[in-house]
Amino acid sequence: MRPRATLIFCALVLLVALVPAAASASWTGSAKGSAAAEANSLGSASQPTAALVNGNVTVNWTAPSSGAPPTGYLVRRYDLSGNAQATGPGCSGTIATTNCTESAVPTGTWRYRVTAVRANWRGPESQASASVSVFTARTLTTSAWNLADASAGGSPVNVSDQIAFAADGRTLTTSSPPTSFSTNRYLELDANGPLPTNATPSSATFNMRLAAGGATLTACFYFDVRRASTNAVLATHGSATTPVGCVTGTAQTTFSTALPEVSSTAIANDLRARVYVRRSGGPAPTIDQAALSVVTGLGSFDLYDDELTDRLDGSAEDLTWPLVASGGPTYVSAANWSTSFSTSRYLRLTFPAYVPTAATVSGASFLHRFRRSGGGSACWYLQVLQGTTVIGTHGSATAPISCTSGGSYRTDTVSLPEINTPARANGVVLLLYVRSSTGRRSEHDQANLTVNYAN
Amino acid sequence: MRRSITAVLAVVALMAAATAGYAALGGAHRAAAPRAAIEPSPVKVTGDISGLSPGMTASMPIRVRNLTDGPIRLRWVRTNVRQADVDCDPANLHVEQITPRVRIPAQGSIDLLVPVTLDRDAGDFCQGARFPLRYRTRVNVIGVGN
Repeated sequence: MRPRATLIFCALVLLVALVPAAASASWTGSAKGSAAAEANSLGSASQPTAALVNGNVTVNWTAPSSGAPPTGYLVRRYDLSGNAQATGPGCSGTIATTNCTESAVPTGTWRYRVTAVRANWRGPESQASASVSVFTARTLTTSAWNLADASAGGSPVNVSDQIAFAADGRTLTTSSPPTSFSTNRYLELDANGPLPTNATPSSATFNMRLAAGGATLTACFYFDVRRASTNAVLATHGSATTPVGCVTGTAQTTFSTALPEVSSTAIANDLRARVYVRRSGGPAPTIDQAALSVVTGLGSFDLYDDELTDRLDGSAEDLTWPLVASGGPTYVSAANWSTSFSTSRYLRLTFPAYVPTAATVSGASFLHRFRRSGGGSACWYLQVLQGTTVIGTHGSATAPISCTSGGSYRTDTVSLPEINTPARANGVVLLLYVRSSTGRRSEHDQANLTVNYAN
Repeated sequence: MRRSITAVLAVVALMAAATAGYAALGGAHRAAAPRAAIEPSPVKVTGDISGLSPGMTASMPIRVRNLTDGPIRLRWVRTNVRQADVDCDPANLHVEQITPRVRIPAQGSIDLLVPVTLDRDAGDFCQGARFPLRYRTRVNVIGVGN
């Protein structure tokens, strides 16, 4: 039996050994085949739109249509020369949405580009938006130095500021100047300051047009240019020994003097001219014009006297144009008004052109301060003209804007919605129709046009 | 005498069994990767992925095909990331090892997903980078009939 058992054992061993399927082997190594992992890339955001909204610029774009999904965007502002600018609040840093609104955008014309970002990745910069111009809201308040009086009916009589316009038949006969220059004998005018802050002067001129008081007399002048606010002298043109100009005889002569010292808008809006005059004797000279003009990138501006003081005889006389501001001199109508309104009886005010032609006008109003002269009451209404075309009427003969009686001034402010473009604001003509219950004159203390615009 | 003959037969049988068993394994062996490199691979792995972006984890679909005439058990798949075609460090791409432990029939295949992550800090120059991949697997050859 033992041999048989041994044989059985060996057979079992062989059986186990010869059944390979019962074995399990491991294999480790490189598998066949090839593969790759490919990183995405960021696409370009769409060409953005940029729009001015309440003084801010809103930029909109859409996400790239392909590529890796951005987690944010960088927004960059460029000038028209392609120079990148520092982007202001609202659009700086990484923007998580597809729009932003940049505030405190400087005045100018800009384009925007957008770059998609994801972590350290930056996509290609988008196409530039269409240009957007950023304006600054401004308020202009000005008077009318050009005044015509038709209170008597018939043709209006030019009663404009005597020194504002050249060769308009209106001249100022000064007080008696000395026969030799004196630093405390002068005519001093402060110009109005209507320039928007982005109207940088490229040149400025002081225009003086005068004549001597008699055919054989001579009048000479030189002048200082000063800051009106501080009285600091910016420059002196001419001198006591070498005047800017001398005129012999009664023919008006114009002297235009360049003012290189008017180098900024701040200076242009804060100018004072102190004009020293001497005469050879006899009657005082006459001045047809003493005004400034400033040329800027936004156009030319004529500056008129906001304040005018005559100290040529040593005592101060306030000759300020009556309609500029309340107080001081007033304008009394040339004739008595009718007791009823008449379309041929009015005061005509023509305002200067101070609104840049590219500006956007958002509103305008007219402030009128007046009272009746003498007894009874005075009433008024208003027509607005562009050139000779009536573009608005406020009040009427049957329903005046206001009436005032007693000795107090009345102030009315009339909204002028029809003044909605620079063309309508510049050179606008107002006709003030007045009647007096007692057929008396009227007295006008202030007439100001206010225009709200952006440029 | 008969006892001696029986003992010799037993020893011979054991040796034969050991030899036959070894031969039945078909040359496969448990560890030796260097040895495996010269052996024909029992599997073929294919699978690509695209559209990876920083910080994004995606599932890369792969197909593992059993090239043998017997079933195998796939224990794990590792992926080696090679240098990209641009100057982007392969370390920016993280591919997880998977351990499916699944049986693949003879000449059969199985589809699997492998998590792939492009590092969140991958640089701008990694945009569009193409990383070649090489797969390594560990399989158990189960054998015919199983």
